[in-house]
Parts: sequence; C-alpha cells; structure tokens
Amino acid sequence: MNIALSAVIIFLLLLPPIAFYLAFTLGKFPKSGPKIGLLEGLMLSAVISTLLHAFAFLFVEKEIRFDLIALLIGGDLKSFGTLTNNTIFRHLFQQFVLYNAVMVLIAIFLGRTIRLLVKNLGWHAYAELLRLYNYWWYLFNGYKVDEFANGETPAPFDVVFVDALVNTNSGTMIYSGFLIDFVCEGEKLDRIYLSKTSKREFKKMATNDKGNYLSEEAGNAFPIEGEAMVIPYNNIINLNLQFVTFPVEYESSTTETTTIRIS
Amino acid sequence: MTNVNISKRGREILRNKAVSSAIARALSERAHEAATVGVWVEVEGKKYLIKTASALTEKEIAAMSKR
Repeated sequence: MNIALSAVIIFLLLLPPIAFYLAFTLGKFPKSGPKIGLLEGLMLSAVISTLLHAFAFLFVEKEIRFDLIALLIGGDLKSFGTLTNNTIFRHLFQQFVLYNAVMVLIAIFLGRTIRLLVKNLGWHAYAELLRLYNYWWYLFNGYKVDEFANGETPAPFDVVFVDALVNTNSGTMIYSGFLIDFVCEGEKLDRIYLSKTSKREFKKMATNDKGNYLSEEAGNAFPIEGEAMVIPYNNIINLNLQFVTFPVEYESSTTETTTIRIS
Repeated sequence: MTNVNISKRGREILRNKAVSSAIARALSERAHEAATVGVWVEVEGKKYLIKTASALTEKEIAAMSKR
C-alpha cells in the first residue's frame, strides 16, 4: 500500500475549502483561526470538499475515472496496469491536475472577492462569522466607542490619544500620547507606539503630619523628547483611549481678519 | 505607514510639534471637558476646539463623515 500517494491525493481534494479560508482571512491583523483540532479541521474540510466537488462535477462533461481515483487513494496498485496504460494515465493525470488547479483558483478568487465585499460593506464589524480583524484593531479604530456602539460604523476621529498605565522600575506611571501605530501577534497586542508622549506618576507622593503617603492624585506630567515612544504590552496594566476630533479651528483675535474653519 | 486610521487633519496636526504638544497637554489635563463640552486650545495664533468622539453634536458628526 502506498500511503503517501493516497495522502497527497486526499490533500489535493481537500485543498479548495482551505484555499478559500486562507484567501478570506489573509490580511493585516487577522482574527485567530477557529479553535478546532487537526482531525475536526480535516473532517470539516472533507465535508465541504465533498459538497464542492459534487457541485463542480455538474460542470464536468467528460467521464470521471472514479475507479482509478479509488484505486490510487486505496494505495493498492497491483491492478493498476489492467485499468489503464501510461498514455491514458498521462492524459487523466493532466486533467486531474487542471481540475484541482481550477478549483483552487476559483476558491482563492471567491475568498478574496467576499473579503473585499465584507470589508467595503462593513459587515465584518457586526457579524462575528465575517469578522476580519482581531479585537485590538476594532478597539483602536473606534468601533468600541459607547455612543457609536451600533457596531456597524466606527466613531469619527482625527487622532487617538492614549493614557497607558504602565509598570516600571520606578513604580506605576501614566504614559500619555497620540497613538501612531500598534503591533499584534495574532489576537494579542504586542506593543503600541506613541508620539508627543509625556509621563507622570500614577499616585504622587504627599506629606502630612503623619509622614509621607501616596495620594490619589496623579503627579505632574513631564514631556518625553523624541519622535516615537514604544511601550510593550507586557508592561501595560490598562489603556484609556480618547478618540479626538478637531471640529473647529479659527484664527485668534490677535489677527485682524478672523477665519473660521469647520472641518 | 500606520495601522491607525489617523485622518488627514489629524496628520497635519501631529506634524506641527507646537500644536500637537499643546493639544496633548490639554487632553491630559482636561480630559473630562474634552469628553463633554470640548476644550479650546490656543497656540501659534490659532484656536482649536478639541472634542472626543462622544462629545460631538449630530451636526459635527455629519460634517466629519463628509470629510
């Protein structure tokens, strides 16, 4: 019995749904894959593949040599010579490869097209099955703002301002700044990048007649010079986000003409 | 390239160090005001109204969505 050959053929037949799934989910900040084991995954893929191939056979007019496929999958090749010869098998093999290539290409095309539709129509934001990104992406892009929590559209904003409570060697500090980027490893946030960052103590030291104590007030803010500040998520206790807008801007009264800009 | 959808106006403001620093300071110190009525920040002869998304009026939301 040739187990390797049958495994290759079965894998080729299972490929279209796997190709569809990968084409649909492949992108930045993807959500984590379904939490199912290898066996369950293969079984699910087998069921979907069976349906797909059954549907595809409706469009195949030429004879399908199921006897040869069954023989090759079975792995017992003793009767191979009586069922076919080299010339016929060459043709059948080329047709089999072509069929699978077309099926995989259609699966990839459908996967990418549906992804584009789901993204542009905003369905990814409210249907868990169609969710494209991890939860951090939705948080940092304004999908979790209370007043806009219909889940379909993000809150309008110009910039995101972050207060991060961070564990440091010198105690718990608040780092504040504009969020300019973030990096995730799967569903987990790895680090955030802030600009115009300042830091202050979470609880400032105060003194009364009994001595020193930590007050409930935060300390004074000290700006940190630099273009970008990286904070690893391991050190972050929690994050407070403000989705900031600049709806109105105008020249102050120090100039003679006053222009108002409503964006 | 960033993965946060910072708007064109947001990028303009972030590029201006004096303005963005003043706005950052205002957001740190007057977060509650920014989330309710908005905070006016005056810097370099210009005044900027800063509001968080939850403080926007219907008119302002409509204006922002047209950007």
